[in-house]
Amino acid sequence: MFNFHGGTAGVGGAITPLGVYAGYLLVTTGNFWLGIAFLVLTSMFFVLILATLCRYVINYRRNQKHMQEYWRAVSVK
Amino acid sequence: MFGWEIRILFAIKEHTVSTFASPLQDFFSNARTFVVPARTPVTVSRKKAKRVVAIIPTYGPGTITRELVKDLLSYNPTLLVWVVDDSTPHTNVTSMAILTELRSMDSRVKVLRTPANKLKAGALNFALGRLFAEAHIPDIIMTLDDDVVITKTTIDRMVEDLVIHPTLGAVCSQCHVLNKNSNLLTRLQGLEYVGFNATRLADEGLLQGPLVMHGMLAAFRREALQGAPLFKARHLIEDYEITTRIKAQGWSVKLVPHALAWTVVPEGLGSLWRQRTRWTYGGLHVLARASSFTAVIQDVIGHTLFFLTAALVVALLLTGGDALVPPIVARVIVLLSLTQLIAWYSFQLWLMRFYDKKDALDWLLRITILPEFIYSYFLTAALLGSYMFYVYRSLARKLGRIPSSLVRSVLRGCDYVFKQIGYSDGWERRTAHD
Repeated sequence: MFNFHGGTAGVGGAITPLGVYAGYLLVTTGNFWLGIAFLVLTSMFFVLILATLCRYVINYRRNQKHMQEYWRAVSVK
Repeated sequence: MFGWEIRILFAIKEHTVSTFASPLQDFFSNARTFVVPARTPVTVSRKKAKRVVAIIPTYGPGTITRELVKDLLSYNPTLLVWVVDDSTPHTNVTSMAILTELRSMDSRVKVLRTPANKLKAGALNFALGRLFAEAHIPDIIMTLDDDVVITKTTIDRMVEDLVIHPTLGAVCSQCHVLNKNSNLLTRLQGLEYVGFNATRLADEGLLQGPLVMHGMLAAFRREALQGAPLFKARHLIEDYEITTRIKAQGWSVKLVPHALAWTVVPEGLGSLWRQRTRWTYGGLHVLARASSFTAVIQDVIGHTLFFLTAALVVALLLTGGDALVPPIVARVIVLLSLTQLIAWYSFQLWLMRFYDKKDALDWLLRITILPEFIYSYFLTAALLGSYMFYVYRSLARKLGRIPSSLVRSVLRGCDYVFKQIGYSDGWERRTAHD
């Protein structure tokens, strides 16, 4: 249950130890419905991580292309 | 010729907004930007040079402030620089000498002095009041901390982005750590700031863009700032607060990935704790008062996930185990968690290529994970304390009305305890890194 460090409140980083603790408790105690709840929560984190990575890669490529166009135009000028 | 004179023809990316778009279509359109960010519209621009002013609020300026002003002037031939001395005591001889030197440095430099110490937001407002009263208000207004180091192109690139993207109300620079080699704590912050920059880049085009245009170095379109119109005086994190109000007007914001800047971060655990409690508690205030949901969406998601995780921990502690978790559920949880960990870890390693002046120790910290993991406990503690203080302050406002000396004594005691561990409603005095 890892997440990015980010945001003003540092919430992303702050979630990490809490999630690990939740996982530890689940492993040690075991409870059907809480197991399902933990699965749902882990899936939400999973989607969040993948979506953020997708956005990063897309924006990185877009900015790279844009800046290359810009500097090419400036050098022609 | 002006560096940011734009003479380039870009293709206009039209945003086709249907008049009959249903809320459902809007929802799916917005949901899509969580994975595929919207493109920031680009305009064809043959604009004449923009007038740009940089406002630097300062208290007890040192040599780094003098160098910043020098760099701003030499790298940007038409830039106006307004230094706002926030009532530095006259007994501070060194700072007074630097302020005198700044006054005579160039005709483009103006040094203002607030009548009394107003803190950062108040000092910025003092300058903006003067600026907005002028006949020709600059097109772009930049705000900088007084301990920032820039490159030759930092300002240029930020102005370019504002000029060619008509929907942007504000942009901010990347932030890097100037004193990252001071100790272990500054190195960890250096690594953390690389993550901040990555998150801001990832959030470009997600609804209205990144959560915060940080106060270290941001550039505002005049119309956006006039619509705000001022920073909220004595707010704990005025940069986040004004970003939400700019977004509420309909503007978007973004990071300028090629605009680099460095700042000094806290070197001691105490000052870092004080900074982070201010960020987290101030962030809760902004979130509670935000008029636009989309302006704070990242924090809404973050806090929601935090509470859901915390609720799960509490539920697991309170309920007895029945050991009936199906093996398939456990396996999927482990698989998802491991996949996340591998993706996250690989990404963190890849991000190191953007880390300025990294050395073997930085690599060691990143590769071993553990130091950063412990550091995240520190962030968790600051956040938990902020939640507790927020709840306490809400209760205290109600309890304070009860005419009982006992209640007042208890509240005074609680106030004292929270203050001792770094939580307060506002700043009472200026210190470094405020």
